[in-house]
Amino acid sequence: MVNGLIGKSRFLLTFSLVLILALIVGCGSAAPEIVDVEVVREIPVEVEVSKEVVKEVPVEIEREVVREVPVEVTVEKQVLKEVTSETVVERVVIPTPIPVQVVEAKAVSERLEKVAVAVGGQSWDSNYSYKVNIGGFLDKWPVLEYLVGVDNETGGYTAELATEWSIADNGKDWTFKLREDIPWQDGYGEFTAEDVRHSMWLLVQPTAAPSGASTWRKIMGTSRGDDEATTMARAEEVVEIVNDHEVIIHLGIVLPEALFNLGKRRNLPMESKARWDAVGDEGMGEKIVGTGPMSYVERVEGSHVLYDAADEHWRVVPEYHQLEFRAIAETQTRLASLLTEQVHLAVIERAIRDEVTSRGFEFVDGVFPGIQHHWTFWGNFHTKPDVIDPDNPMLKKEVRQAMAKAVNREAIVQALLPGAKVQIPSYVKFTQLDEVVWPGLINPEWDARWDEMYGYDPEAAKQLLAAAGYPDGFEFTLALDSNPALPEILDIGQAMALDFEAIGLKPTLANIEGSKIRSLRRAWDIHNTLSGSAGYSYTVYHLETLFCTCGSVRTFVDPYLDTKIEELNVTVSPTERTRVMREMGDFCYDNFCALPMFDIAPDIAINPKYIESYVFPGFISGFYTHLEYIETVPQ
Amino acid sequence: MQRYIIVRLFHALLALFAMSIIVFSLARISGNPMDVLLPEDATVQDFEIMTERWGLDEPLHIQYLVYVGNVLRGDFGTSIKWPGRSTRDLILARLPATLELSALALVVAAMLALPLGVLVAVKKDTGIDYAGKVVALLGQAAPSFWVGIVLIWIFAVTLEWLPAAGRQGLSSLILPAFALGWFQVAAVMRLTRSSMLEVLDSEYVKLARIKGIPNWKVIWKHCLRNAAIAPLTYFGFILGGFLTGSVVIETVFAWPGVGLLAIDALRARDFQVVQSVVLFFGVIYIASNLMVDILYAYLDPRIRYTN
Repeated sequence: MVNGLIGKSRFLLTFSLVLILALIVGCGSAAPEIVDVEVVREIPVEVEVSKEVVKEVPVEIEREVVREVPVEVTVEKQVLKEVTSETVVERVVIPTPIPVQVVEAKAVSERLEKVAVAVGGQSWDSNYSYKVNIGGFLDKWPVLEYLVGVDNETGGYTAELATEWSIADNGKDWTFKLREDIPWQDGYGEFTAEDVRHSMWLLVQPTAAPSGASTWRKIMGTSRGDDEATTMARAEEVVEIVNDHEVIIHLGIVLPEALFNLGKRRNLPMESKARWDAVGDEGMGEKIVGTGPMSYVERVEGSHVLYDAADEHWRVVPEYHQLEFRAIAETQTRLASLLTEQVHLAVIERAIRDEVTSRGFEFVDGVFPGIQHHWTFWGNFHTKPDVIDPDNPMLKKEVRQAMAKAVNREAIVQALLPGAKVQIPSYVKFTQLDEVVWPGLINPEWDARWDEMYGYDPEAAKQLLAAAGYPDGFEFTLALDSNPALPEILDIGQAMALDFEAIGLKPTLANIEGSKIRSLRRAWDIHNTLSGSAGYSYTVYHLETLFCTCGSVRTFVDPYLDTKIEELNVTVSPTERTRVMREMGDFCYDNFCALPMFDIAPDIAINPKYIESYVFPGFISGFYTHLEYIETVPQ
Repeated sequence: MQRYIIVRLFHALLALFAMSIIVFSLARISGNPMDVLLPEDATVQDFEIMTERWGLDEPLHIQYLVYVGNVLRGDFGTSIKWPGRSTRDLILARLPATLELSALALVVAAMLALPLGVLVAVKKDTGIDYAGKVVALLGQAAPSFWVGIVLIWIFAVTLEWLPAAGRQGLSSLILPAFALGWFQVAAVMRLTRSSMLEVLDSEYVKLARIKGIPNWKVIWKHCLRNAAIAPLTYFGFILGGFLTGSVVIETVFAWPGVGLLAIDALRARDFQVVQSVVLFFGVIYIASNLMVDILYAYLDPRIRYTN
């Protein structure tokens, strides 16, 4: 009966290893979860007048909906050519605010008791707004509001807690007029300019970890490691309080697209200073307190977050009494919860979409694509000759084009993403939304030449390989890693491998964690490898991140692109910025800096018995915003 | 007996030490934790500052000693996914849900496995015995996540008797407890059967029958009492198995216990929580093994270390 000493210890050690392996394997079946992807769209100014601010005038346009109509203006500004506060050369156009959608309340008796939303495992499970990135905001949007919101139908900027905004001549100073008589929940007084300063300070103080932390530090002129007093002093300099309802934000950098950062898109939620003073950092984690149409009830970690809908709110009174997010990691269990009416909306993997619709449920898509999928040809470090591997076939443009033309995107989409709202062509880091911010950003030639340059043509691909000196193909690593934004990415990678084999290439499929890729690329030590990604963000942000030696991701770097980034960083004029970015886009397009796949809109399954409509823009990280505007079916 | 316990305790400590090295090493050999912790746009300066702040610029043995020192003081580190929360508090907060699930799973396993084990032993080589073998085979072969999903589809979606997921009262506990206990039913049933067959063949049972004691009394009172020693001590092992097995079942049923905590932490690359949960599960398993060893020694005086 007595085991040998050695045998027992071996058993225990073996069990520990098996346990750890089991945990790792368990991680492999990741359900979709919310990730940090960012997008922006600014609404173009259509009418130019010589005014400095944009005002909104409320008018009644429907029985139930009151919209505010903007006076559309262009703010004529002179802009820096060199980044100094004196030299001014061109006009800055700022986006016209879309008046926020104001919805009249349904009678209490007509409201649904509860709307429950099943989501996959969340990146974050916390009440802190400033210690999580935008991927952790799904459960904060119902409560927190922003200076600048996002319209759920058009994706444009809405006047939320700021009613007007303007930019000064130097391209750095933004003036915001704030909405009055907005009460904080839990009796923390009214929303004022002090709260704006406090909210910006929260994002750079020592415990902060928001999305785009390095950009926030540039904006605020702080460094990682600065203490509370230093950051506080900077916040006081950066956010000038004119009066209780007007602030001037003096950015540390020229940023004509700052509304992206200062609003809901890049996530500057308004937090109460009075609350911070009362409860401090630790107390901020106890609950979420904001000015929004829902108030926090409880969070059970790993289980759910519950909110009560307000009976009165200046913007919208939801058509239900309570909202609940339920964290359900397994997609089959989420589906079961939807079918049993435990939840009314559920994030369901696209692979079982048909099963859901066949049972009478429906899918709603985001208005815009929220995920851009592309693959990187690693090793193209053309500004670093000392680290380049000369034997890397992916250094040759013909090879990259051959690989781009070898992939049958349409077939992959049809097989693996049935029913999804997909957009092809796709231009890496240039999106439909960005075209609205910078008209002319996307070269019409890209569309026209897509078939010739990137279209599926295995024969042409073989010829290109032969011309590049690889008539028999070559071996390379096809790195696979799960991606919560696109759970199908592993299957897509395997399908691509078959396409590559069809033109004679010899891919070796390898599971390589994203963090491992990051480590290798930081050391400039990843070559002859193709790896996939799925995200969505702002062109100006990603051009530097991906295509500059100075960037943090640097998937393809070249002296020409570095020069262009330098030029971009000292250009304020939107026209000029557009030109510079488009030239970078031309270069990347012509040189196959990446292997584009498609843009895809996020979707969510709904129970039409309870949910009449749900409109969400889809390009904000976390995707499922604007739940307060859900229209329910009268019960 | 005393010497036996001391030696087993020493073994347990040795296993704990080995496990701490494994847990510590896994977090390091899988790459630089900073690649997980810092955002994609982190600068070189960010890396340097954070590496220093987390003590990752120290030699590995120093890092290990600091880690062990912190663990011994009850400081398991701070979570990334749950900002501001210590990993110890997170585990303690989730523990009641896991214990609740494990306890009911244990009851399910005992209530099903012991009577079934007795029945198939008594009906040896009959149709019932063969059916029992099939049940045992299915129990051991069917993956628990599959059993869980099947149960959800039968009892929640089709019959609408029980909720599909979540922790909302006793009704939501039934399906995950059954799914968790099912795997062990087969093992305990087979163990009970073997023990019962051994006992049923013994002289005192034959004597009891000759004396005219009713058959049910012979089986359930005299035989089971003696045959139950092996399965009962085995329950010590399966308690540890339930806790670790809860990783899968809690995920399938969205049951917010320690197992789901581990999965959530893995998905969020929250290595502080992951290594704490692994350490916690390891301690539970080692402790339950130790208890079983001691229980064996207590029940059977022949079990001792010889000089």
